[in-house]
Amino acid sequence: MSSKRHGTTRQMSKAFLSSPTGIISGLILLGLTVLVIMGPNGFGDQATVSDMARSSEGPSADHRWGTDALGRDIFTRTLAATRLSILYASAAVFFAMIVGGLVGGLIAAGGPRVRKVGGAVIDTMMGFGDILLAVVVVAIVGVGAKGAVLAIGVAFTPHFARFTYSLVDSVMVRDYMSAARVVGVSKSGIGRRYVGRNVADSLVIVTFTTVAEGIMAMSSLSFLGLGIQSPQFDWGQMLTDGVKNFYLNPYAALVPATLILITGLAVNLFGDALARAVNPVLWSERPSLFRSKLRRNRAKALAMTPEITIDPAMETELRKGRP
Amino acid sequence: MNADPVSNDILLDVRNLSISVENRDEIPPLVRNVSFHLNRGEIVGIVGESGSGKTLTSLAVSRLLPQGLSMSADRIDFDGHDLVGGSDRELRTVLGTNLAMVFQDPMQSLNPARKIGAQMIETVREHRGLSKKEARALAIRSLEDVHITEPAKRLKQYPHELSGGMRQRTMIAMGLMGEPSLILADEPTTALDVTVQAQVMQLLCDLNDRKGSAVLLISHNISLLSEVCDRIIVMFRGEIVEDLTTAKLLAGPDHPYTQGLIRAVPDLNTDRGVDLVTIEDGQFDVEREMNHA
Amino acid sequence: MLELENVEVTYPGPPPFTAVKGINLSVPTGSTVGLVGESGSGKSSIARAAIGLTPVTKGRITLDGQDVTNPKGKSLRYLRGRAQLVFQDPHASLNPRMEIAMAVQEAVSVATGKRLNSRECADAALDLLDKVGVPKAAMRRYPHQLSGGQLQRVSIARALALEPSLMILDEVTASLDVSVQARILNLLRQLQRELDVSMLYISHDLSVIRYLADHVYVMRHGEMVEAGTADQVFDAPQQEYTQALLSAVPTLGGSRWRSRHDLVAG
Repeated sequence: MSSKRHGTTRQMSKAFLSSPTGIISGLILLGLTVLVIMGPNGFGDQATVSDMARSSEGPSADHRWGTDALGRDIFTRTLAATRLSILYASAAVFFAMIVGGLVGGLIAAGGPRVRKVGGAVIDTMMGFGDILLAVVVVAIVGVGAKGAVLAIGVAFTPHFARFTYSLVDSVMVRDYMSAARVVGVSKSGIGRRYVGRNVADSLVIVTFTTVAEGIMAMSSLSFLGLGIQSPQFDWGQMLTDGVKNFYLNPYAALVPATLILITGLAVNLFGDALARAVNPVLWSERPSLFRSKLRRNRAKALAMTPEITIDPAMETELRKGRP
Repeated sequence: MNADPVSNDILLDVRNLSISVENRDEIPPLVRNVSFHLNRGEIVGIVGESGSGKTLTSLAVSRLLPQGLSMSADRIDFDGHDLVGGSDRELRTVLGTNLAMVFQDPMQSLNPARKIGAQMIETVREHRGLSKKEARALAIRSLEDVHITEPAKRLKQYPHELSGGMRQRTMIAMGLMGEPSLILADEPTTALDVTVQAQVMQLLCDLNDRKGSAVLLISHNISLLSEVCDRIIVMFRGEIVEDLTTAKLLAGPDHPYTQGLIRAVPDLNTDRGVDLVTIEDGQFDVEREMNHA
Repeated sequence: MLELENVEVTYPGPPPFTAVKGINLSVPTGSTVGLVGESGSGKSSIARAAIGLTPVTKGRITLDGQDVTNPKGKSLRYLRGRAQLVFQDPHASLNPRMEIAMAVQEAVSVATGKRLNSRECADAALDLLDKVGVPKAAMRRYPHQLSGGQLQRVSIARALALEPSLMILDEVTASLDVSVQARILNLLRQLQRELDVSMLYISHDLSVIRYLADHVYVMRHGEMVEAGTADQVFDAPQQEYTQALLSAVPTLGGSRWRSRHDLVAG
């Protein structure tokens, strides 16, 4: 049993590492994680202390990407903002994934009446629009980081609920679900081994890609003044501030924007690679920079080669084998 | 073997046809050095299991090989035209008018969003330059030929409004509009019920009889082929293992794979007391360990 | 052992569709019963209704005298412990995310309850797979890595894990190559000899039914057209439809459609 599990884990990590996008996005995410751990304090005063004498300067020897409206170093400040940008967005998406996933999954697994009512509720919530939903939540919970995270979490929840609902729904009608019921697999077993395993990879991809959207949503709230409040700062806040002074120093907007872009790309690719890793169907058919093309081709050739050639000697053997 | 002297000239001549995966020299060809011919008015069957290359062979003849596969052949002559060296335009005209294709799933070959009539008329006008009125009259006549009732009404219907057997006959009717010298049918009845299968087979034989169209019938069902074909070509793993007349097939084929194929399938007279014959030594084994389809 | 009395299956619409219109069918203990019909005849609905996957709208289904119509709770456990269904498409009826040995092991652990630990369940699963002829090397693979024939063997092993006294086989060879079909049919015959299970074999293929079944039922459009012993139905069919079906089956060298060739030969 343990050796088997080990084998599966090894195959999974092998599958993950064999895709170049997985490795590259993994390295980027590793770097971002380091920045998250360092946080604003890791960069000393440069990121936080204002110097009005050097407000909105272009790139210089002291400040490689210039300064913002309050004279703070753009690059350092952007790096320092990584922690809150990513943590808050991830927290919001995680909240939405758990709540939405549970709600959607339970509705899909329920009886016809539950499905009808539940589906209507999800659709109605989606009809509100994300930002409107978020603003309502902020109005209830109050302006600030906590409010923003909860607001985005709630705003994304219907999406996850709807997505999980249709995923589970498509799995429920498959033959193997009927087969599992006929064999008598318990409800929890069906939930974990049948539904869980078959929806996990899609849910993983969507969760990761949604983190990028979460970062954007956080900046939208910051733009409306409902998000993170000074002295806390994140990429969204920096971006909106930077845009205001775009003609003085465009980098004040471009640098955080680039970080948002890179993060978004990395989580997308990472989600993709992870999904490949958990799906055994994709284990053996992955593009690779690291395995040589020749080896891949040979593997493919072996897979397709009919090992059989027909020769007279063999035919006599065949005849012997027949009654 | 054919008693009819007129039908002794060769309609389709395929020499050394190989089909391989493009840019993959290390993968052995999927079809290897296949040579066969078809006489005018003859009904020939190609039988084989999955992976035998029977469908690829038929696609190569009709120049419909999917992207990524390439073919080479010393010669493919069809009705006096060179299909290997000929120009694209010549090919399209020859294949469009002299060859009728019938596939397993007619729903996939018919456009679900257009009426039967529009599709039939378009095809024939493209290839033969008929007026709309002439084409319509021809379409109705073709539908009558395949025994479809109320042909004028059918022209105004969409493919999904017809039953499976009717759709398959419509496909055949579409092919017939060009007055084909060859009907190439790839598993035309696999998706149909036996009673409908009987009708389609009856129709193919009937057309062969009345119009003299040769038929190349591809199937996994050797019993079915033995009922309608003059000659049967047995394929396995991309090669022809035996090319024999139906009489010889019934008398007892030479090749062990053909023998196995016959005896593996129960028919209404199979002895219930004994197991079916299988080829157990793995040499002609379709049920391989891995599935690479 | 399995009795269907006046069973009707109606799928809720709109519009409602009655797939099975009040049919009677019985599978005597130890026998193989063939249910034959063309597409849309309702034969698969009968399979699903008998195993409790599709609700029965009228009539009664009993297994060894116990009522298992629309089973719930106790009667469901009773049914699943004694009757198993093997599906048509082996690629669709196994969980793509589960090693095939696990798929069988899971069934073994359901069948044995808490009596065996997972090690013992795993061993029993491997034995079952071995019995139905799945090679050792394939047991740790995932469904997409196996051929259709092997997957169908896995499905059969999985059903056998519950030691059923009745197996319902719904078009189990319809998607397989003919040489693979022969092996699966031989396997089923062997299992029936060795394990003495009753079988309800559902197929559109009259030849296969003729080869396997002791009793035969012929269905059309949700109604039972003809029933009887295999010899009665195949050798002396009473109904026009059965006769039409039989005469449409291709046989080796039957040449019924070759008018021209008959003339030429004559």
